[in-house]
Amino acid sequence: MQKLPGNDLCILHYPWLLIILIFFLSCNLFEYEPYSTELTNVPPPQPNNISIDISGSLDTLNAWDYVTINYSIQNDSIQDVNVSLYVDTQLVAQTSNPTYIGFNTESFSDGLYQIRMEFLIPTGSGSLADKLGAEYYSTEKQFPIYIDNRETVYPPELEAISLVNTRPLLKWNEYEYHNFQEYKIYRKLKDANTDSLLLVIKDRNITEYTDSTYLGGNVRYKIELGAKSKILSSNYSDFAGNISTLANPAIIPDNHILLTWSRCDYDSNFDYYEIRKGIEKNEGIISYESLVKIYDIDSTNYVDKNAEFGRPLNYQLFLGNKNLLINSNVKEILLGKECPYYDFISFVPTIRAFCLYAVTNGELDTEYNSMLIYEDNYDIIKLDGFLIFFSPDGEKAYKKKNIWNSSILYQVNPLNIDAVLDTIQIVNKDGRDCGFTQFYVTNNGLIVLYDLNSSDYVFYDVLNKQHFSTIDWNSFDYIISISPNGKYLLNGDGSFYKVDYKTYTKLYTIASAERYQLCFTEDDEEYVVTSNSSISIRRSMDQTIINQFPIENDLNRPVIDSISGYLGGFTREGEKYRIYNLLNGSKIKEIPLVYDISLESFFYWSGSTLFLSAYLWGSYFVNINF
Amino acid sequence: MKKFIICFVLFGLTHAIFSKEPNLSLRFKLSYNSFDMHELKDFQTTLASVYRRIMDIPVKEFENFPNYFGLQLEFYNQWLKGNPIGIYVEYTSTGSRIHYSDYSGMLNIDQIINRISLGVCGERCIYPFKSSNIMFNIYLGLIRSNYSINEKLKIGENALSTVTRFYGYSIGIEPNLSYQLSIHSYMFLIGIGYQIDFPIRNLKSDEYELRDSRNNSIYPGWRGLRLNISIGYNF
Repeated sequence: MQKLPGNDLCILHYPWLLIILIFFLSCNLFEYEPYSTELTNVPPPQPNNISIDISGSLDTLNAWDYVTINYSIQNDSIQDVNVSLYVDTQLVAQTSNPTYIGFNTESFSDGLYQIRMEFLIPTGSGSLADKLGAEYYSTEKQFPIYIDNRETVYPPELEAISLVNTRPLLKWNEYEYHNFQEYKIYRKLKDANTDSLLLVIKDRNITEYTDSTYLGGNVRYKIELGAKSKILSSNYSDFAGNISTLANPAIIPDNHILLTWSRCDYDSNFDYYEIRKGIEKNEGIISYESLVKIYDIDSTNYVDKNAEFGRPLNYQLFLGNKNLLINSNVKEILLGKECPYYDFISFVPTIRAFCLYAVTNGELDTEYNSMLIYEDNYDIIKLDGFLIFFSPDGEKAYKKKNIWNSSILYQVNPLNIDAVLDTIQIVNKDGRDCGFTQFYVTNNGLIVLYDLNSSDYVFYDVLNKQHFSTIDWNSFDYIISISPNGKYLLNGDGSFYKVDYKTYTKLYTIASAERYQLCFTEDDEEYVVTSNSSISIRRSMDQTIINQFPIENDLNRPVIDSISGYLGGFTREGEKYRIYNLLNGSKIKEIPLVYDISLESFFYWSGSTLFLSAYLWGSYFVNINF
Repeated sequence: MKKFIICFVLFGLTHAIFSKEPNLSLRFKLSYNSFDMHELKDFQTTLASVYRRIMDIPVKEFENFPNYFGLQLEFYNQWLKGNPIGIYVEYTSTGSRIHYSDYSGMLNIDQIINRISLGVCGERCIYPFKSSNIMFNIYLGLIRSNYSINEKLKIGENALSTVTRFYGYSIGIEPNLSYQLSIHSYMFLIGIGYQIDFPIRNLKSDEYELRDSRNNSIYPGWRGLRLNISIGYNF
């Protein structure tokens, strides 16, 4: 290859260099370049009306420290949102939180600004821009904001409280800064430890409050100011007013309880009186139940017609309205009269007295005096170491020393037990003196006792002063009851015996459920069974039913009043003592009881007095008025 | 810039070798090439699945390293009678595209790979005719591969473009059979060849190395059939 003529530096002198240059330059033009495209058909998003709700008033937002603005987006399908917050034109915060955004106001001086919140919500169209987070629905909210970071320096003060239209009126001085949060009004009883929040006020221009819940009593008010990040509290301001109080309850006829109280002075706030009754159902714990609500402010008395017997009753007065229930005082009353606990009792119609016997471990207790209690005035006559026994008809009375090995029995005048009519030495079949317990006296002069010396039941003829018959102890559990004239006897194992002169014959067996639901009438030839929700009058000889009446529940430990002839017994369902007319089965009276009813409880009653005795609760006399 | 350096090197070599020799021929070759590129094709599939699975964009694969044209410049000298030897420089390229577009915008991920090969070549007539010959040529050269991933994203009026470049080296050998027709000092050739290559350095940048989903480094794979036509001039 030869050089072309001319200047040696000219590129044309090197033609293959020119060729090489052309080659490389053409390489650039010759480079492969992908060209394929394909437009995917994705529907563009449709216009969407997205509603944004900003919490609170947008008139002017008062702000201090770090302020949080809450919002909600009214479209369930929206999953994501990007929110930008501008104060005037300055971007101060961005978030993807769907409920709130906040910023620190301390970088701004105090004053009025404009908030602009820009909401960018992905369209969800599925397009490329949407997937790359670049396609949004856009909306914005604007509202004024007043930034006030001045420190709160003085607490609010309550002015003297006055009564306006029977309601306490509270007033206080206005708080002037924009960083007000709220007022809180508190009230507490003067001696209470805790304050009760009455109201939260979000408007700083409100400077008074009428207590529409006050119902009386000594109370203290205070107001709390929440401003910026501080809470400042006023001193307590006292207010004293009358409160309705319960007077002593009174027992009125039919054993109803009359409750009276003073009228509430605060007519505008009054809604109702409430009476609650508390009964000690477990040891030391009084359980209160609402008895009645009375909505008439002028109605200031109430009669409890269902006052229970057996325990003290506690009544408490409450005053209430829709916002408050305050309690006034408590009053206690007892229906009947409490007396010491005794195990056995009998009623002596002729002297209208109850005779109580103390028993410990199945034996007459020598440490306690038995006593007579007269029904008329509940006077207690202690027997000074003697036990006294009356025949069912009250015609005869006996007393003996209250020691187990005493065999001397004194017959006394039933109307004057200090007048001794006769002295009887009780001996058993072996002629030995008896030391006895479980002493039963019949109308016909027969006494039955348990002889501790021979361990036999001894039947003794008092009239003739001779041993009558003996029943081997091993044949008996114990005697549950003996007919008034001693002709029939019910043993603890349910055996029903006919007792004749020196003999006793088992007639049949009383079902176990009926053994404590049985009592004899004045005539030995009949007895009454109160099981199976019926009163059944039966013939003693052969259990033939003479008459039968249905009743609501079984009666336990039935007793026939010798004066009225009525039958009484307690129910274990609903805790009631019920009295029935034996002639037609009609219910004469129902007495509510507050008792842990069990078979160990004893109930005896005469024409006007019910005696209740239970181991845990003590013993009570209750006057019954038919 | 690198092309100009090669240009000057080539110039120096040709000038040194051929300037004082009268029996010089120059040939310009246009070729149509196929390429193996199976590793880059796999990488394309992996890249597309990443966009689909992780970014949830339903991209499609287009133009998966298709056959494409190449340019070659050869210089021969008759040092050995009837068996000229020389040097050559060759350029070719191919590429692929991952693409998605809809009303809101467009996403292209283009892989472009080109190579510049510089080497020695030899020629022997294996069947002479009256004014034409059947010729056998052999090419042995160093290949530099230039690979780039061009990502172009356009959303509305906003566009974003990023380019990541890698390069590698390999040795290529290509036997070629051609029919040569000579008219005066001009010659026209049509031929067919097959190139095989041996990697020296897989695709890397100054900072990164291109690796597939199994963490194996990637080699371009230039082997393939070469169809070519040439025009030459004997000085």
